[in-house]
Amino acid sequence: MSQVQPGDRSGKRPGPQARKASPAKRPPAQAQPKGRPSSAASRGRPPGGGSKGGPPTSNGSKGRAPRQNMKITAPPPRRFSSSTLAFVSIAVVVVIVLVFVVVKVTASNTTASTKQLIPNPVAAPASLVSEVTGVSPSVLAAVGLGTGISPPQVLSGQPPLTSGGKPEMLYIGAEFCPYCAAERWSMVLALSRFGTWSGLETTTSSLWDSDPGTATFTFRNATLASPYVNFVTIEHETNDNFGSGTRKLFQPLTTAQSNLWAKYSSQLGQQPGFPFVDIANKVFVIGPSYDPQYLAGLSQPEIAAKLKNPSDPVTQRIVGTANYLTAAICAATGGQPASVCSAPEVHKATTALKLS
Amino acid sequence: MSDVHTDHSSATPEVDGDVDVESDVDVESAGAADEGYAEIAALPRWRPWAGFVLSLIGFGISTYLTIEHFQNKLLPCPATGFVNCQKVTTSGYSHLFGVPVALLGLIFYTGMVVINFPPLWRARAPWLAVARLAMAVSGICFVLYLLAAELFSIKAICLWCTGVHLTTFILFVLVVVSFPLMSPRAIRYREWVQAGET
Repeated sequence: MSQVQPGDRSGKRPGPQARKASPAKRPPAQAQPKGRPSSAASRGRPPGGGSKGGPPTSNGSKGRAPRQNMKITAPPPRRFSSSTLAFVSIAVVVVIVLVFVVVKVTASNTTASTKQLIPNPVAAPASLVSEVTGVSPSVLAAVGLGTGISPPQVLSGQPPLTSGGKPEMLYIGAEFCPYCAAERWSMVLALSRFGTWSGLETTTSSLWDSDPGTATFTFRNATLASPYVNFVTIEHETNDNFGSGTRKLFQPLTTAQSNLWAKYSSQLGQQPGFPFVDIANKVFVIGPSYDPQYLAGLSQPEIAAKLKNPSDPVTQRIVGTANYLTAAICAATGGQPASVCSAPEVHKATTALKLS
Repeated sequence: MSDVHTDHSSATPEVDGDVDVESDVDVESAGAADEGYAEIAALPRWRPWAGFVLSLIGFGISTYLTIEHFQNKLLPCPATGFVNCQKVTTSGYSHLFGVPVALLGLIFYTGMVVINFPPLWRARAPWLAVARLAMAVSGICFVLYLLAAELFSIKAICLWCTGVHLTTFILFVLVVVSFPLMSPRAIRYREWVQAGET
């Protein structure tokens, strides 16, 4: 920065533009010794008396129009420190952003180098699958609508969702998601009444989300062979395999699936979230059907073993939710198969959902 | 005595009777010749318009994000990993005290469009420059908060949000750099200059 003083004619002459811009605008000032201006001026205050400065007037008050032939008694302000503050504040913002980025990149590299904390899903043992899909009819009937359940929601007048010539049941979930973990138990049970499962694998929900480590299945490689319903599964995000927040997008959505997710979540007053289950555009599960805390601390075999006891709180929730889902699928399939859809617990759920 | 400015004839010409905040002068180059005075002498003509255009851009993106929020539509945006608008806009950070962040952005930029209307840059009311600065600072603080949330909590960034963040940052730079030329102190100085010329 130049150290040319106000009125300093010994320094280099500013160019025409510079002269136009500034020095010519300065008012005449009383003679002062060569060197630094007065202290007030050097602090950037226009003269005039008050600490805030102001146009000089005969009585020293600021803000009034100057009188003609007024004598200005001090040089103009030397400089404004606010420009320095401006650049400092910009630098602070830039530095903060850079720190964010560096910390993020460093943390990502650290995370990537750590070992996997949640193991990959493994094939579900046949015994486990058969325990869950083979819940006795007496238990199903005894549980009925269960307790502590948020029933699915029904929308009428929607275009039916079909694929492969069958009603479609679309599931959008995520492997980290504890609500999905709870919901899958009921879905496995309900859908097993309409077909045969294959490819089911076991896993847990995220260890760094609510209801951490809820034991469950994953539908990532699961298929349901059914003559009645086409079950479409999307595990949209992975688990937090490498630590908190390390989930990644996994199975992509088609545009049509995204639109269904957004449209019906909105119509039912929700943001798109996990889990989302669309049963033929008739019945929807948005969010948790029951609280996953009832599964806390239980392994898959322990949960499956509880399904023999209709009064167990876990059974009440898993089977009760499954009965609602069964009734919803029956509404989509036109009551097929009759052996399932005419069961008393299904009839009860159909009535509760006003699907009949 | 020869080193002080005592020559009235050389001090007064070249300035209009009405000292305007705006000028097409290259302030920085002028300032190099006479430190301290050039920076308060004039505001480049392009800055008010740049501020206004940036505000309009921010307003446009914020409007779009707000509409999409209330219609629950998914943004046209990559969803292939770290860039994931859906993850950001449906996260817990998409609301602040129950108010959608997109709506807060729209309210902010509505104010910025108004206060950055070019004639208001030229207005002599000192509080306008202070208010503009306060808004720009609060805007960039909120951007830093949202950026931290995206990077460290949500672990995803939203390109549309980043567009607003960049716009806010550029606007912040513009307003902060211009403030010394428009602050109450600068305005008093100009009035004092004008007084000296009369």
